[in-house]
Amino acid sequence: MSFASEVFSAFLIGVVEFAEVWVIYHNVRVLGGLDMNGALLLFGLSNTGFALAQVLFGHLDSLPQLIRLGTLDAYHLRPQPLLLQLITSDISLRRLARASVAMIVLGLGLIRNDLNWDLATFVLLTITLLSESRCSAHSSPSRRARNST
Amino acid sequence: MIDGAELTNSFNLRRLLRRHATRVGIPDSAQAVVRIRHPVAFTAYLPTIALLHLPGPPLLPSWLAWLAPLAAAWVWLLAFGTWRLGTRHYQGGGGMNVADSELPDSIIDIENLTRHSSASTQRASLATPPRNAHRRRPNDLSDRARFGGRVYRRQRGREVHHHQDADRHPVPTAGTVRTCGLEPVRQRRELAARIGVVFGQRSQLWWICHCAKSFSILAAIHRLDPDVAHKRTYELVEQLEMAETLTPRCANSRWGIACGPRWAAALVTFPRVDHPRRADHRLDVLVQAAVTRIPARRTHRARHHAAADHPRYG
Repeated sequence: MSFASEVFSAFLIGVVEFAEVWVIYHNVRVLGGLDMNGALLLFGLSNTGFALAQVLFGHLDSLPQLIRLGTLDAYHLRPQPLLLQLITSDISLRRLARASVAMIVLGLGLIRNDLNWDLATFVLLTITLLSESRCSAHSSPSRRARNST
Repeated sequence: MIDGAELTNSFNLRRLLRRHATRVGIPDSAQAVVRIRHPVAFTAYLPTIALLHLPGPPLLPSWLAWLAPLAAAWVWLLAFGTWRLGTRHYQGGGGMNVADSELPDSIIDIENLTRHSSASTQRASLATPPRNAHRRRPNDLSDRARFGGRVYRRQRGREVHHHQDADRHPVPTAGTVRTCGLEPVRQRRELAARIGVVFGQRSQLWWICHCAKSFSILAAIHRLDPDVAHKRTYELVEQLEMAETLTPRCANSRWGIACGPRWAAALVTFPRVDHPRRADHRLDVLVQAAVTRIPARRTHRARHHAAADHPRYG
């Protein structure tokens, strides 16, 4: 598949995910104490973190394939930490497409909710996004390694 | 074997759903446990209610949003622990392993290896040698005994030097060494076959011959039984799908095409390949890479990704 079509499909996945949330909140108005605008913010925050984590660490999903091809064993031979080698081995830009959808939604959520833009809000947003992409990164590769042996 | 990606995808999907489900359900104790182990609420729900100044459910006050870095650290710790556990138990990607009972425990066994210098050699070294000692041809027995080691001859132009290198290559006088369970000097032929091609070494193909000829030469060098060698070569040709690459001369084929024969040349003698860092962690990288999949013809793009086929890294 070409890069363009991969980017497009990733973009589409992001849009479809957002559409699910939109359909629910369009019909229900308020769910769990959040209205449409709150849901926009929630979706934007969670998906941005997830997508950023995917950009940075998503290729660890291909670990079984690496094991089958023997690439992992080749990594074992090099005198560098294994996890570091895996993380830096590949970063696919196509995953940025999904991140962009998430960030657009996050922007919408930030605009449409009337937040009072003081320092606390900024700091909270920043640490949330930072720690979130770490949190989501725990799509724990370990489980795979264990199961594939 | 469970494909790990499928498993984690199920986890991811469930987590995404849980994140979006906005805590409609009653937070029972089971859910609380799950939240402590995987603090998903920190990623979006808590910041949202904190930003919107909403009260939130009783178990999740909105000030918890400020603890998101703590949650991230906890999750990292958890993930790293499981990763360590997984990599500790990883024993290689599979492949043809030689039966464990046939092999000794470690590659190099050393027992009481020492070098005793006798009194006569010590006394001799104290005496001052004649000034032209390095020019004199030291082929008499007394000289050899006095040097107590090898005597090397080096000639540069008209000048001839003989020098001893006993310090660098000390010859042991007592004790035993076993490499792969074999005597390193006396059984060096078997040993070479057992080790196979050292990583980074050039492959053992004769570039002016046909590839098939190379294999018969290799088998002869390693004193393989002709029948065994034939069978082994046939086996490797089958596994590496290199039937059509055997007939042209090696030198004529490009890098990608000669790749199969290279692997095969390394594997003809049934080598035992060991992990250099952990003796108990045996990875037959060569065998595995050869058996899993080496495309017969590599395109330009594919070569780019084939780090495993780089001669340096096996």
